[in-house]
Amino acid sequence: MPDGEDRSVSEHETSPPAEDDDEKLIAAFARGSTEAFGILFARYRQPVYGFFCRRVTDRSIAEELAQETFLAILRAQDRYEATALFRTYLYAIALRILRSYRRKAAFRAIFSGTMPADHDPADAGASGNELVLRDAVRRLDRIDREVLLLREFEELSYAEISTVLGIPLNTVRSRLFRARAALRDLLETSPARTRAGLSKLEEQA
Amino acid sequence: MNTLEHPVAPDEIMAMLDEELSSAERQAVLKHIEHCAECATMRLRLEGTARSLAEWRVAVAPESLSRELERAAAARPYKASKARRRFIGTAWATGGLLAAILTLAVIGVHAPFESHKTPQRTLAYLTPGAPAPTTENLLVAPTRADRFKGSLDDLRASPNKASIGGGGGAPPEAVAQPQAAPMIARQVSLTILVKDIPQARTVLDGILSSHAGYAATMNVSTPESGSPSIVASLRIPAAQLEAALAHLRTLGHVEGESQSGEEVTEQHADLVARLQNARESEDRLRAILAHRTGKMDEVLQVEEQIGETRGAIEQMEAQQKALEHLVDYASVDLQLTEQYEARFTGQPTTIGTQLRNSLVTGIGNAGSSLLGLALVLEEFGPAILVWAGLLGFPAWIFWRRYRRAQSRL
Repeated sequence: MPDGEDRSVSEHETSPPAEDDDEKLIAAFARGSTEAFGILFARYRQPVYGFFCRRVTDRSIAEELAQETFLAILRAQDRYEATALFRTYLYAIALRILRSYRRKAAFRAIFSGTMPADHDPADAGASGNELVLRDAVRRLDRIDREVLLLREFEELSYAEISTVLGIPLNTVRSRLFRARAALRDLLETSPARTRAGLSKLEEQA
Repeated sequence: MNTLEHPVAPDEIMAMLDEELSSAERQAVLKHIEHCAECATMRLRLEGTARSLAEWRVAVAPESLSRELERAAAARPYKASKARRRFIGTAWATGGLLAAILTLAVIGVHAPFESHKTPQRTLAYLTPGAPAPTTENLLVAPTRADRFKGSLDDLRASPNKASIGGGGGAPPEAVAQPQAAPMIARQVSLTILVKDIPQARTVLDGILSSHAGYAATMNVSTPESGSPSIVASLRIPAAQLEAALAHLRTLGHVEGESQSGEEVTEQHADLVARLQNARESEDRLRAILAHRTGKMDEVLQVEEQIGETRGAIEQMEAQQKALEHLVDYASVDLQLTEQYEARFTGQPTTIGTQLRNSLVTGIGNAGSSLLGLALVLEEFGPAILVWAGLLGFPAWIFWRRYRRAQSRL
C-alpha cells in the first residue's frame, strides 16, 4: 500500500505557509537557491500529486509523473522566465507531462492489446458518492473535464486556465459552464446512482 | 433563457461564484438573483455541483516522492549540466577564435608568396627552360622573334659563322641553343556584345586597316528572330596585338576573353637546321655535277638527287614561312553579337480570332490534362488500391485502438 493511502486530504490545506510568494521563490531558485526550491516543493508537492491522481488511474504512475514535473522544473532552472505566475508555469509543465504519458500509453496499448484500466485498485477505499463522482467526471468531454478539474481542484483562474490549455478566455468560461451543467446532469441522472450501478462501480473498484 | 427577463447570463452567475467578475458586475448579478427565482435556483445548483466535487479527495503524497526529489536536488544535475554547457561554449569560442587566427595567419603568409608565384606558374609552359617571363615579356615576344629571324638571316648569309655551317649534320639543339628569345604563336579569343552590328563591322574594318591586320575568315549572320552576329578570324601583327585588342574592346561590352601562346622556337630551329643541311647537300651535288667524271647513269642519278633536294628545300621554306607568319601575326577569334531587342511585329490576326484560338488551345489543354490524369490513374490506380488495401486496414485498426486507448486515459 502506498504511503498515506489511508489518509485523504485537501491538498491546499497542507500547503505550508511561506513568507515569500511563489514568484520570488522561483526567482531565487533560478539564481541558485536550493532552499527556495525546497519551499516551492513543499508547497506544491500535494497539489501536483493530486493533479495527477485525478487524471491517471494508477497512483504509482501519478507519483512518477509528479516527480517528473518537479525534475523538469529543476532542469529548467536557468531557463525560467517570469512571464506568468509560477502556478501557471507549474501546471503547464504538469499538463505537458500528462499528455506525453497519455500519448505513450495509448501507443503502447496498440501493440500490447491491453487497455489502460478504468479504475485504480486503490479506489477500493473510496466512498460510493466519490466513485459516482469520478465516473461522472470521466464521462465529460476531455477539454471540458480538464477545464473543470483545473478550476475546481487546482483553483486556477479563468485566465490561468486559458494560458495553460492554450484556449481563449471566453472558451474557458463557456466550457466550464457546460462541464458543470453536464456534470450536474450526470450526477442527477446517472444509472450509477441506482444501487445496481453503484454496486457495479464498487465491484470494479 | 430570455435576455429580457434575465439580463444576467447563466455563466455570469457561475463567474460570480468563481469570483471572476468585477465588483460592479457582481453587484448586478446579485441584484438580479434577489428578484429572479430561476437564477437563484441556478446559483444553488452550481453551488451544489461544487459541493459534490469537493467530495473527491486524494491520498496524501507519499514520502517516496520527497525522497526521490531530494536525491535529485542533492545531485544537482542541472548545475553540472549548466557548468558543462558553459565549458562547452567556452571551448567552442576559444577553438573558433584560434581557427580564425590561424586562417588569417595562413592567408597573410601565403598571399604575397602566391602573388609572385602565379605568373611563373601560368606562363612557365610557354618558355620551358627560359627565364621566367612576365606578361610584358609575353607581349613583346614577337619582337624577339623578329630579332631571332634577323639572326637567322645572318646565318643564311654566312653559314660558316655558326656551328650549323660546318660538319653538315649539326643537331637541331645546337642550332637552337644560342637563341634565347622564344618564338610564340599567339591566339586570342574575344566575345563582344555590341549595340549595332553594321556599325561595329565598319569600325572593325578600320581597326584592321590601322593595325595592318586582315580577316582570314568572316561570317555575318542576321537571323529572323534573334541577334545578328559576326564571327571572324583575324590576323594582327604580333607587335600591334595589344593596341588592336584595346581598340577591339571598345566595340562594346566584352563578355569573354582568353589568350594563349604556343612556343614554336624548337620547331622553327629544327626546320632552319634541316633547311640549311638540305641547301648544303644541294650545293655539294651541284659541285659533283660540275666536275663530273662518271658515266651518264651516274650523272642522271645526281640530277635526280638534286631535284629531290630542291623539292625538299622548297617545302621546308614554305613551312618556315608559315611558321614565321604564325609568330608574326597573332590569331584573333572574334565574335560580335548584337544586343537583342524584341521588334514589334504587326499582329496579322484580329482580337476575335486570337480569343477563339486561345479558347481552342485552352480546351485542348484541358482535355490533355484530363487524359493525362486518366492515364496516370489507369497506370498506377490498381497498384495504389492494392497497397491501400494492404496498409490501410491495419493502419485503421491501429488508429482506432490508439483513439480508444487515449479516450480511456
